[in-house]
Amino acid sequence: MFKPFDQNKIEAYLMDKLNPNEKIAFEELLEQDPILQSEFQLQQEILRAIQSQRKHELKARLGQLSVPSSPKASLGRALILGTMLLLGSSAYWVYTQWYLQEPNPQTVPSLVQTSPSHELMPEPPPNSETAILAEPLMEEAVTEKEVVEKVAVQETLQALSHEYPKSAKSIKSKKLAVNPKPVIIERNINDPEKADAKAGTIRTAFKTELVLDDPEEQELVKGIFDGSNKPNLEDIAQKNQNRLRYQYYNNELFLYNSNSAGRTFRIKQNEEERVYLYYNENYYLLHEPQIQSKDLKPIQDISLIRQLDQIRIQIYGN
Amino acid sequence: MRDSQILKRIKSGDESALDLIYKKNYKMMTRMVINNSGSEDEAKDIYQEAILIFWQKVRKKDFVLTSKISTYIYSVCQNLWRKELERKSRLSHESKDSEEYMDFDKQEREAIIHECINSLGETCQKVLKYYYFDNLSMQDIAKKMGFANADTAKTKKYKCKKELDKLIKIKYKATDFLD
Repeated sequence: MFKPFDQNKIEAYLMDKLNPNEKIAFEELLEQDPILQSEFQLQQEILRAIQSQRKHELKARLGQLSVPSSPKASLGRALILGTMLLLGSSAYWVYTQWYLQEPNPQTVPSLVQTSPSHELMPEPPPNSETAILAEPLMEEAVTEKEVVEKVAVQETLQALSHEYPKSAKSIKSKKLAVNPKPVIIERNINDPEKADAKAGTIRTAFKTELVLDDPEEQELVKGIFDGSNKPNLEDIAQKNQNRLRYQYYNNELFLYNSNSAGRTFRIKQNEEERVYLYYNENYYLLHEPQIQSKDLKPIQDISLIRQLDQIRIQIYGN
Repeated sequence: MRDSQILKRIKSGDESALDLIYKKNYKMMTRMVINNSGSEDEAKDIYQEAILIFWQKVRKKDFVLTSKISTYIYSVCQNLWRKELERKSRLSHESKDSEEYMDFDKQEREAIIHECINSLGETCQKVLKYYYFDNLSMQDIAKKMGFANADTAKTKKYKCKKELDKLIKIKYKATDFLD
């Protein structure tokens, strides 16, 4: 039977303040007395409620304290910062590689190479040939874009056909067939004042050292940057228009300052695969993958030229 | 501040010492949970639970700290998080019905008790909470509450508890919890 003094016992039991013997005795009593059980349950619920309220108060107090940011948040910030840095540096790399060193920021149609399945006898690529429009060497700041309609392209190709009858023939047939949309080309600004102002912009915007392999180009660019040499943009454009260069990007071959895509040969020589380019009656050896643009130098070896002539005629005819 | 000094302040119910160790170890403790597939909120909750267990344990008669405070709290965090992961795992294997089963009467009784606690005066509420949750001695309660001595605190606690029991029983009777 529940007695008033048991109230203290209940509290002591719930507060874990009884010694082991008292604890056992109380549990035995609790088992036998339903009224005590009821009171015990009530007191247990009251204590739990008081404790729960106090716990919430203290948690709320701790929750309001300013604490160092969590490791995940720091990690997230570090990742964002890292990504931004990576993107920034990638963008800068692309800019320096493509815009500062090369005249043409646009993607030039690629040459599809012949299949390496034939030894000594490469597979002809009759449907792969595409035209490349001649474009001047200009940094982005001194060029402007102009939309040229299909008709303009056709006129250009007709003009080219007089100068390069062989290659222009295929250019005409393929280019007009696959390119019904307007073509965007880069054109020089011939206004010297405007060009100079733009060049000035370059001086202030890019204070990095340019890595150029051509000494003439180095001298020229240095002069533009330090202001000692007023850039003659037409000269630059003319100079670079005459220079045939190539580069691989995403495993595709790009030619600069060319009038056509030329023809490529993949040949096995001494167990080694070599890629040759036939362009404008000259042969050039290509190195895969040439990531940075490189000048093309025609092959001078007469016996090699004869061999390549034979292969080319065999594939493409005269 | 040394562990011994912090421990002394915590034993006397100094909540600012609790704040101090909470802030000091926050990163390390939450990292443990986050690195073990916990969210930031879970990590924070587990750490707060662990800190409060330490807060209560410190004043137990048989409590002896044999390690650094941070090491003790860290092991409490680990145990709590392990239990929580086990609970989650159990829940994912049980049906929703059993998960959401609630005793309606129990819920109602709890609501009545909370209502009665809140209807007490602020002093009564504090005294009861310090005694039943914080495990503070009557001496410390008297000190915190500005009472003359421990006996005053003891009497106050007795009266407040009696009042609370009375209020609850009246409400229970009104809702037929007690015949």
